[in-house]
Amino acid sequence: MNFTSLTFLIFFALFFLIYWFIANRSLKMQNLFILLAGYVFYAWADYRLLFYLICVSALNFLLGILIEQSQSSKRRRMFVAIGLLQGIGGLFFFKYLNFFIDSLRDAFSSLGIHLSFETLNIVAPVGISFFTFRTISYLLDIDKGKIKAARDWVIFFNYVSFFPCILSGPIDRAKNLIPQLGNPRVFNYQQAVDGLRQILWGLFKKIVIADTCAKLTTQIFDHYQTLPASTLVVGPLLFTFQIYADFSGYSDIAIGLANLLGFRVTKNFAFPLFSQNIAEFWRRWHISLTSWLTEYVFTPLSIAFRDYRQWGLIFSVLINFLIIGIWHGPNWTYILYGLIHGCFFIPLILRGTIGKNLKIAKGKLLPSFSEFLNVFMTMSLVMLSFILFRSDNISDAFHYYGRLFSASVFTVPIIPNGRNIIVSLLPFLGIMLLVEWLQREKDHALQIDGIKSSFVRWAIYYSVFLSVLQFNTEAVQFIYYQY
Amino acid sequence: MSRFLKKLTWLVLFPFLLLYASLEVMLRNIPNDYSFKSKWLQTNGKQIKVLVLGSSTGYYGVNPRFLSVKAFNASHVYQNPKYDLFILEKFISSMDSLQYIILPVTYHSLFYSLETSGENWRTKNYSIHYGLQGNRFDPKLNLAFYDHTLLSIFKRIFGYYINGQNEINCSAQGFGTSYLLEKRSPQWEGEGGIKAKAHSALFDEEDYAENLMMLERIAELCKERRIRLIMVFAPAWITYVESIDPELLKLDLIKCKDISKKYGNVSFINMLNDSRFTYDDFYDVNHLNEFGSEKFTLAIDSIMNSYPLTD
Repeated sequence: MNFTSLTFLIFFALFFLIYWFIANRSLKMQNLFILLAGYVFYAWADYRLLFYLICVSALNFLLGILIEQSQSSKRRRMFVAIGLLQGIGGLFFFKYLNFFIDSLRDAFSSLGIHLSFETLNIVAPVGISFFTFRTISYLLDIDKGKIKAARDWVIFFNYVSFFPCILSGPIDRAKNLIPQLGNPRVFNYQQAVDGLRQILWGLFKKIVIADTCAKLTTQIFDHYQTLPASTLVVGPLLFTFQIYADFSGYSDIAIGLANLLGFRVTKNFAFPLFSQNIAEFWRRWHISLTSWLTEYVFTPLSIAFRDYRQWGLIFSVLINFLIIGIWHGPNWTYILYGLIHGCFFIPLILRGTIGKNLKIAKGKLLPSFSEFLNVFMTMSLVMLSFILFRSDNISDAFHYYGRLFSASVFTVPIIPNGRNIIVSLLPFLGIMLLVEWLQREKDHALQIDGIKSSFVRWAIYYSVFLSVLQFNTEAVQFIYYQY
Repeated sequence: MSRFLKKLTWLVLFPFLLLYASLEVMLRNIPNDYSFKSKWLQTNGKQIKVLVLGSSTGYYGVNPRFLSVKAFNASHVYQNPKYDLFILEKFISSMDSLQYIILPVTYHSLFYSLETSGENWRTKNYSIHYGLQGNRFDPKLNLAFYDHTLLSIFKRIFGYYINGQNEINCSAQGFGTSYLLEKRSPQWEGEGGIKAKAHSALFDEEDYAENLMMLERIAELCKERRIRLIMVFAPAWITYVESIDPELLKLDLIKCKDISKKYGNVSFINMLNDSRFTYDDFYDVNHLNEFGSEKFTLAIDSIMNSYPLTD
């Protein structure tokens, strides 16, 4: 059930009415109802592994209580280890085992040894990377005494499978979501209206920008061997807009849906296209994942290697980004993508500007020339790295890079069957960038409650909604659904 | 909450529901090939002796005007055996005079299911205009506006209600009239390889098995009604034929021959490489133009005549 489908619209409308008018008699009932809806939503995507999700929830619920109740640190460590083993082991088994077998076989094959291992026919549970990170952080936080273990199974199961965020995040932390699940919900008009605005902007980004860009990027990346370099430059540029609009669009819809149910969910994007260096880009891009890794990987590592100063920091960043790469999936392209981004940090670490808080054009309408140049350089690096992200394999990616630097870069770009799509896309792409630029200080781009005239506000809503309807044909799956 | 719901209802839901309900009604009332053929078969089905089914090859290839007995072409672009069978089952009881069914077969017509193909937007036409009882909760199958952009919907409504342009692209006997030699693309010959590969890529084992099953049911139904089913493998241009997968083609031919052997009332004729169809008979590599379709229909007519009508 895609967020942009009519089926989901009907599902959510019914859910919303029952949630606020029937299930609101008690907190328990409301939570049970969210859980039930979450499982229906999850089963709709893939019913075969719903049982796995329930088992993971049950195991981590028990482990949380056992960790908290354990008197000896040895026992606590054992229970944490069981939780980590289940989480990381589950991820490894479902997502990476076949990749591992293939890589091992290839490695031995290159040495002239032929192994007869066969890959397994495994179906990975939808959203496994997201809910696994949620359960791991929960256990680690209990172990460190940052939070108390949940005693109400409905609340904990809801935390693991909260349906607006189950498939593609944001990866909310227990300290944020569990207390909200434990508090009675009161309908907040402003919050609900803001949620709807954010959903509307998410739909705009997904349907108008991402799905339209996808038509072009598919053409370019599928036929890159026959296209001139000028077109190959356009490919990663459009893919950057596509993946941003797709994933941030999803996040906007998820956050908006949570708002309609009375929840505040972690922000996942903060206008990353206007970042002035790579560190800032990662502070604004997929925030819930990067902040998770900062807390549970980068910070412990940088403390452990602090004696090595800058080199310890570089090592910690590289490990952090290696995990980001691996997290995205079982493909060397993602691993290399992560490592390259880690390498982009090295000059910042050596110059000591990694933590520099940059605010572009603060209080001004336009950025300065140097700010503009910084954004241009940063986004160029990001775009180049997305060639790796988008390619099917390393070989394709390197061929793409190879073809990118040729004399045909000075020709007019040709996109097969793409002229009309480009013409219809460009004005909306311009609108997205303009609106996001003007609203860059806000939580989301359609936070327009500052506009006093309700006529103007409604004119904006209708314009955005009509453009969504104009571009809305078949519901296209979100890119991060596969992770 | 009530303020929120009131605003949402009156400013968002109500206007857009009203808009889309109006668009739905208006779109459903624009005459198209599906509504025309469905109505025609309802009112005139009794009189016809020949019914043409199949996909675009039948739609653009068999012109009932050149048949010696009263015929109607009920084929539609991308129509596969499932929908052929549905049309047949729906109207066969009222077609008292029906003696022949012409079913042009192509290299890829058994490879795909319409529902999962890129042309799946056509499925709703069968439920809206032919009354196919599919999944009533699937908007794709039941709503005329679904899967179309707002601008394209307005263009169609403007075209019909203001400019009076309907969407019927076939003759009074159901033959597709837009594939004319003068409109042929200058590069048509060169598209053979690309098209053949794209068609080969459509092959799906499950869909193939289902389509064969449907084909057999058509043959059974014809046998029960003492109707002769003539399956014709339609002609294609050499650049296309040379690029199709020989194994898949062999499979097609074997399966069609098997059906014709199994049922005594089924004839199968292979005209894929028929030398009577020359350069000027094609609109593109796998469709005939107005001249080719005349030849094709006359050839079918002579085949029909070799199986005399029964009274």
